[in-house]
Amino acid sequence: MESFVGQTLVANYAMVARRHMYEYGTTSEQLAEISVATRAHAMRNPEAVQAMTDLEFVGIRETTIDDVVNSRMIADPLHLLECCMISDGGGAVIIASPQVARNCAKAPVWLLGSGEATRYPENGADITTSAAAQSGPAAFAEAGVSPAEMDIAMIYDSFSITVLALLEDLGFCPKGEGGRWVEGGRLRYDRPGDGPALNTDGGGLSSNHPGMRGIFLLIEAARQLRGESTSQVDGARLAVAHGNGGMLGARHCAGTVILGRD
Amino acid sequence: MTDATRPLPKLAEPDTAPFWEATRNRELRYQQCDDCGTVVWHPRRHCTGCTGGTLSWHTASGKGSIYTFSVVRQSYHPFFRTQVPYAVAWIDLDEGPRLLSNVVGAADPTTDLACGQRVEVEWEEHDEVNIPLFRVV
Repeated sequence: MESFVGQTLVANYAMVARRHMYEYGTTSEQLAEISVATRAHAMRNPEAVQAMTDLEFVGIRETTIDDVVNSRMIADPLHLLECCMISDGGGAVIIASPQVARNCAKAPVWLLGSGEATRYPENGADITTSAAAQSGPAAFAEAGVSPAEMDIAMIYDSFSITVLALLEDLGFCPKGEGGRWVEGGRLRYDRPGDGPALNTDGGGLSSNHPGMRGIFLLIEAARQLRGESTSQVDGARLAVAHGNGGMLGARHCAGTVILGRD
Repeated sequence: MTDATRPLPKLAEPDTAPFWEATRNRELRYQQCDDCGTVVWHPRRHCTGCTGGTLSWHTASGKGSIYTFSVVRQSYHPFFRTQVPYAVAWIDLDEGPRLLSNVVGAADPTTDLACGQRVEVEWEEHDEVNIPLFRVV
């Protein structure tokens, strides 16, 4: 019964960003940090560069915060460079018992904890809080680890605001402080000990987004834990992968997985 | 493409038919649970608070505030592409329902709107239904 409104997918997420700005003073420059970090990682990943090339991206290079906030507005306050690409893609993971995993050619990656949750639009609800606020704590509790221990954060990045809200909900920082928390390139792979490296394959923002992005969160997390990433974090031991389905500002679901290595 | 018109709701859908029927009288209706008092939006059969089934229709004042909004700059829809830039918003009605709608009438929606602004319903007339849009007051 909302077809008369002309709501768009981007505007749905943009409305979360707008409310986040209103409540917490978050800025477009802070949101741009997420786009800048993932593009920097993408430029180190030949497959991401190939994807951007195939999709005829204009200006395939590392970006600055100015680049992002000066890019064309798609749905206020989200700019073009805060929106993921639309690409082809596919992947697979094999889940096996420990006995089988130990005899495989590749080093095993252990599933330490998981959580899932759903959330719906509600009268009077806080649109800046997602289902990750339920799935994240469940996953970390099962794994017996904390967000501060994560070397890698593979976070679904349909838009810049998606990552900001999910980082907060997963417990990397309190709700509302995500903007300040991501400042200064904190999410880059070459800033170890200062927070997790974000989406080191380049993310949905700059690597690939075939609609079902979640599989790539698991694949890149596994690569990091095996030392195979093109933006490798030295000695990466723990990773969180978080997928968001549906639309952040409306009905959506959340899946959090904590992964580790021997 | 320029004569494309706004998509209109399906009026015969059982749960929402009473809502759309009331719009013909410019009434903005919502449901509330007789048992637990929960305000229910969208229209439906059961209470989202207690899962009961005793819902009554009430008429809202049409006044509320912008919870959050965006201004769509790019659309591929044959009608809405002719409307950009236009504002979409979650409107918190004073009675409690949170409606998705458009905020119309701003000289420049990219600069003139803000969260928290007071709004009032403005009906867009069609043959068998009126569409509830909102205007800053």
